[in-house]
Amino acid sequence: MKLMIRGSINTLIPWLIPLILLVGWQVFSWVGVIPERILPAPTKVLQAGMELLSTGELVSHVSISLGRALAGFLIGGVIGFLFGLLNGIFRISELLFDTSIQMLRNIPHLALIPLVILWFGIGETSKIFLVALGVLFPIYINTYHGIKSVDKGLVEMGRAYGLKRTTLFFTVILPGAMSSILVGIRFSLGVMWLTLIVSETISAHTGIGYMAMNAREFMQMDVIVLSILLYALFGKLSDVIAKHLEGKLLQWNT
Amino acid sequence: MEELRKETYISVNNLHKFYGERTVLTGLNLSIEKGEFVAIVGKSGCGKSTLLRLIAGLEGINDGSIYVNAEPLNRLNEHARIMFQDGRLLPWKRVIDNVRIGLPDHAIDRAEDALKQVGLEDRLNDWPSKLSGGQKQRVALARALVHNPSLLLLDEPLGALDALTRIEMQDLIESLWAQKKFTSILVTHDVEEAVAIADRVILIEDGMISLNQPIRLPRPRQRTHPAFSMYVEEILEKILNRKNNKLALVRNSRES
Repeated sequence: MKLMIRGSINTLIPWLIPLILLVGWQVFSWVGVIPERILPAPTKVLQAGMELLSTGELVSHVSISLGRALAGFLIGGVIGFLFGLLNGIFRISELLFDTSIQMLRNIPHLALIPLVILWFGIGETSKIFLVALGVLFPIYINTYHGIKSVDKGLVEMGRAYGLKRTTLFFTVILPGAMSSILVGIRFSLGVMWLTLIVSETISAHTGIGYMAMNAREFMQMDVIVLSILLYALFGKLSDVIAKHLEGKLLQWNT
Repeated sequence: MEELRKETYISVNNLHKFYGERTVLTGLNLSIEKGEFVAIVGKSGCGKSTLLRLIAGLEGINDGSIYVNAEPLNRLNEHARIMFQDGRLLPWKRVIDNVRIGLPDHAIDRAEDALKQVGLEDRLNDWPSKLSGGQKQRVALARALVHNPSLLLLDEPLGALDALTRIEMQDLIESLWAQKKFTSILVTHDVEEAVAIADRVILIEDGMISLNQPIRLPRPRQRTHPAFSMYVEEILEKILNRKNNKLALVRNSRES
């Protein structure tokens, strides 16, 4: 019983600071210490959210943003993962591609925004392209590094115990690289949101970023804050998913 | 007792191995009979582990040949299973799944039997990280024996264990060997361990065999047997012999 209470307290503690901030924010807004022009009260933000929800605007912006994030993440993630695998396993592939990928990696992908707008316009392609590009490198680096640092002794053991190519890969190499790959996924989820926010803010006519920029035109402070909170919420959500994945795939490591 | 002439199982002829400039084995010859338990001792870096890895087919030969069952060995030795010093269990697989590596899916009861033989049937579903050093090596032993190898290669598998666990493991290996009648080669730096477990102790020096000592002691071996310590002393003497000669040389040169 005592243990259970301690357990539930431990799950509540991380939410204490956000809760205090929220309450403080609300109280200071009521008292008038924070003027509404600078930062609207949480209740106002919530109200704006409810209104946008009822018109269906919020749902459509959020789902468009989520779709872009997911599409870009999948495309970039798969490409980065495959190159990481190939270059980690095959020497010839490593010689051929690694130097080029390392060069590309060092270009900040957000610097490509002007170029990307000229290439693809401000439609879906440009945003998905940028997200994919941003996600690709962290996944590549960590997959490649993970495969390279798999314990050679375990690989030798696998060979000595009769494991052939595919089985050796799935039994020894991939699980051995998994913790590093997951670090890459977690990192790239951060890059995914960052890229999406920037590219939606600069050039878009839908999505959460657009919603914020559009609200700025009309001085709708509550909608701007709402958009920022949404990003925070989704950022946290993807972190939770990544953590859950880690717990599931790295059970043996606890 | 009449000595039975047994068939040669492994024959190593004029074996050479070098890594770049460094020569490890220079024309080594060795023949091992079917069912024999041979221990290889020597100073660290003498090439005893290299010889074992060559017999396992994990590395290529530079010159000479190895025959297993009268067939030349030129790739992975499929009759053999090797046990490494560091266990090499896959940390992401549970004990039972580690033992099942390389087995067909349906052979799960064979894996369970193997774990029973090493006394770990109640740890089937544990992660390797939850086991002690001795238990890990028991799992590694089960993993090797589940394939019913005709040759068990032991590369200092007990080197990292404490003295008591080590004796327990020696007894376990000896009894499984007696029961299953496979051929076995043990590489060790512990002469006492070699005498306790092997039919024959081989010493490698300068890339060649410099001592080939059959151990004629009844099994199970008693460490308190007077001949036991005689064997140990004799072999140790031989290993350290060169040092003694050097000392003698130094003395002579001073006197002259």
